[in-house]
Amino acid sequence: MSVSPLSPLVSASLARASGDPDWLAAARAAGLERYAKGGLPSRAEHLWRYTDPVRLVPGSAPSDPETRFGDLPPDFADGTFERASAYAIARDGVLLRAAVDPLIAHLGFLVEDLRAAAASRRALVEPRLFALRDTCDGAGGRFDDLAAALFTGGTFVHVPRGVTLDRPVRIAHRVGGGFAASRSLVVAEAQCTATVVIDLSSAAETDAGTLHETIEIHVGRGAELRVVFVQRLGDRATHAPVVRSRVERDGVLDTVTVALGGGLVKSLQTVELAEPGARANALGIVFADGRRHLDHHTFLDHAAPSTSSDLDYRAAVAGRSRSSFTGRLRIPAAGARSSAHQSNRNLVLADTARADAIPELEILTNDVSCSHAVATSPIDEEQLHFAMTRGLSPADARKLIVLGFFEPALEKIPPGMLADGVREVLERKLGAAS
Amino acid sequence: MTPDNGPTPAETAAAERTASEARDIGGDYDRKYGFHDDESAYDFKSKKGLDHAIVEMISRYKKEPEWMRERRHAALDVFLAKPMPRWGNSKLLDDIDFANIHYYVRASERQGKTWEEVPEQVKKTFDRLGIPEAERKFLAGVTAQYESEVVYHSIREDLDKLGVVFTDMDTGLREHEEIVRRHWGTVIPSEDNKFSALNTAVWSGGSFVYVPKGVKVEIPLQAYFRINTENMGQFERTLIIADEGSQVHYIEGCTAPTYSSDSLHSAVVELIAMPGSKIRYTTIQNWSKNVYNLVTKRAVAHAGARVEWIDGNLGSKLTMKYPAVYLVGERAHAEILSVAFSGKDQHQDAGSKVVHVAPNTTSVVTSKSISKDGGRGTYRGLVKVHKGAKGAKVNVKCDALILDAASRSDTYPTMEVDEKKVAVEHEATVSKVGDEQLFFLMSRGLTEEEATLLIVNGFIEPFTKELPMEYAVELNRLIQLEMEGSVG
Amino acid sequence: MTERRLCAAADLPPGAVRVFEVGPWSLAAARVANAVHVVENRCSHDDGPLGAGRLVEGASGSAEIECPRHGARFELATGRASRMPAVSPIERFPARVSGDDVLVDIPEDA
Ligand code: FES
Repeated sequence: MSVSPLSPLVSASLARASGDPDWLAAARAAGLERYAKGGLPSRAEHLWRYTDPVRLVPGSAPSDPETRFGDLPPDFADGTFERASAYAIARDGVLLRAAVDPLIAHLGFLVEDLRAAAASRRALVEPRLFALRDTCDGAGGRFDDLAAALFTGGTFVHVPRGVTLDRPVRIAHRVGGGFAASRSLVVAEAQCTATVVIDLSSAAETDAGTLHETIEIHVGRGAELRVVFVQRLGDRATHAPVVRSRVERDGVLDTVTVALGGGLVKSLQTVELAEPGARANALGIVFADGRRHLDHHTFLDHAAPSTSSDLDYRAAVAGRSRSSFTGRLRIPAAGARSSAHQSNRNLVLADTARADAIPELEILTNDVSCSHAVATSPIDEEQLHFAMTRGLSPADARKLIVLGFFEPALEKIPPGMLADGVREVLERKLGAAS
Repeated sequence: MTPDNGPTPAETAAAERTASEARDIGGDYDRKYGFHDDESAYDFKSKKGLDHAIVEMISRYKKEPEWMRERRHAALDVFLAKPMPRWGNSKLLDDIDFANIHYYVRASERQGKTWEEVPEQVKKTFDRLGIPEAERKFLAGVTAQYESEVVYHSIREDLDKLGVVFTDMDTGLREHEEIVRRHWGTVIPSEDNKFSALNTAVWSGGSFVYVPKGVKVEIPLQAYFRINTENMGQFERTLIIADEGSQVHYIEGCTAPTYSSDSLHSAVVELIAMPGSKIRYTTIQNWSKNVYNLVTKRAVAHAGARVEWIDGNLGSKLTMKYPAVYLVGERAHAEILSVAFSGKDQHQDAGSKVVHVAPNTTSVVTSKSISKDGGRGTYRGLVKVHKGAKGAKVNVKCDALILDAASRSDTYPTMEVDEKKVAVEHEATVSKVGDEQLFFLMSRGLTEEEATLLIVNGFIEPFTKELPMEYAVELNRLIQLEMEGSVG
Repeated sequence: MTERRLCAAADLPPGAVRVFEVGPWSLAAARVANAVHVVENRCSHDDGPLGAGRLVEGASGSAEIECPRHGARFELATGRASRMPAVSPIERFPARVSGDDVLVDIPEDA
């Protein structure tokens, strides 16, 4: 397997680094070196069973990011901060603009470009950026290293200790047809409460760009953080997100991952429950239609005693699409008295679609409560029949059932923010699929 | 046993009885199975190491047909070319020293037709293991393999008359060459994996079973495998064909002495269940803890056929074994039921594969694993539903019990579904012995040890109840031995 | 369907197997005596690279290709799986020798 020529990547990395503080430039160089040394992951590694890593190798250096965002998403439009405590827009990995509700600006929470913050707020950024590389066995390191070397920008969200944000931080990210690398950092300090909603879309439906994206999330002691990812890329886009999280004592991380678009998606999410009492809830919904290939991997590591996790991933596959879910759950000897539960359900809507599930448990101690369950089936005939006896057409009945299947995750998207958009996309896709 | 109601007084009494029986047995593996016999009387023992000369020697010695000799040589090349698997337990696998193994060892010249004809020292071994006694009691036929060759073989006359063939694989090849040639290696080609290639190159012994159309063999056929020599490799090869509408139950048991250096057991077992037939294959593997047990077992089930793997893994240092069923005919059914007990220094990497190819095929997989004293139990499974297998139903359930904080359990199932009209369900749980259950039993007068044993027995009950009585009793005893001293 | 040139006939001598990348497809082309066969370069068992496999004669005398990974075999003329561990067929594309060229038919939207 050949790795595409490195030299354009090297010079691109150097160029990016030119504006960076020394420590960041050094981290980029180290990332590039690891990428160059590592070679591609082998297809024999089970995380790469279903997706050929070659398809994620950039063919060229990152393109220069576009500086115009285009029309704002509908929920940005009213110009008030009624629904969000901050708004931000990013293009090709670079934060273009961010605005914080002036009435609560005194709380001191930050939504900024990460590279700018690396220079101006070193004490906040440096100890956390790249700090999660080696957690969770360093899973997925290869392309993460590439993104470390090349990232053009990203978002830095910082919620200070004890602050409660009653409205979400809303970020919209658009990518074009080139190759982009971005990196974001979300820090929820001890005892704070916050929600961050990020949606990702293609600038034009036909854009065939590639985005390598890494997001690091730190949840401090007793903090409660919810992060909602909505991915609505165009059919030809390639997306390789790596989301790494670490949760400290009694902290809670809630993630909601919604994947509706992209031609090829290879996603990795890791959560390290690093201190006693840490908790993670992970909900995921995947709708695959057309020829989409959506490959999601999660890794939950109960690295400390008395930690808990609950994961529920649901996928509906239509057309000639394919969804793969690999969920690894580990309780090492240090994780006594932990509880961990995973569920993966797949609805198969077409004969030509395919759903793969690999839920994995690695339990190295006995005082635990741990389970996983997988179910793969078509729409239940009885449910369908029942809905039709209530006067629904077969197509509407199907829509209703699939939306109901996704409802637990949809409910967690803050009201007035994307949830309607997601429902609309689902309805449209279901209309086309039936 | 129902945890909410607790055991009845009769159950409690029974537990006490079995627990005290366990103490009465008092012996450990070494005393019961771990003895070894003098090797000086051996007829033939190949030099250590593996090359084309050894393969040639084995084939010539057995006076095999040309095609088999060629297959062996080709398979050796495949074995040498294939890398060692990078999964399962790479560390232990990499420790295998293929140059330090005897690939062929024969303890006696002839196969005994009657028990008396078996050489004295071999007979003693099997006497000690209780084989002739078991045969008299309830078996339809017995094959006993000692080192590389089958040393004793018998089949009940009535079955013989019905045309049932139950013999060792070498004799099968000699006397039924056409059938063997048609089926041998079709379910598991030598290229399948490194160890199936090794087996194909150096196989010796194993069973050949053919059950003619419509014949139902009501009581089990048994094979007993014994390794006696240190650094020995046992590579038996088994092929079972159940013709249309027939039925057969085959049981195998395996033991070896405990040596300071390791032995290798690498069998290939192929089952072919023709339309409407039924094959049940039961294994109680109790190898000593210095045996690598790397086995490929696979079945093909044609229309309406039923294949059952009942698989108990107690012994060995490392077992890697994933009995498979390919459901290629409509309404074929697979049942895979397994128990793995991983104690100190043991890794049981076991599991199952079901491949649904035809419509309305069904499968049920039940796996129970117990880890203790730092042992590691791994369930590794594959469910694959091919396009066109409409109406397929799959149910997989894996439960693991971890008895102490140092032990480990892994679950690695893979489900690939390529068809819409299917129902695939998989569930796994990992737990410890419940404190409440334990407390309840102890409040009824059981010691902690007895209570734990009762709970473990209840945990594996779905497995034990599928075994013939003698085997169930034996299994319970083995578990008791393993459990001894596990608390306090 | 569009018929396109795969390679020169001389580049695919009898007994040879070669791999070609055509659009989104990776293809394995084999020449058995005078017939050329083009199949998908992907084993239906577990995506093994069929084009790296060898040609063998099947039980019924048919020309078959053997997957180098686990030994599954496929009939070149039909795509049918003839030996475990593969059970489902592989994709096949009509191909022929025309003059000095090997031509193959690849559907627009396969
Ligand atoms: S991938 Fe071809 S035989 Fe397994």
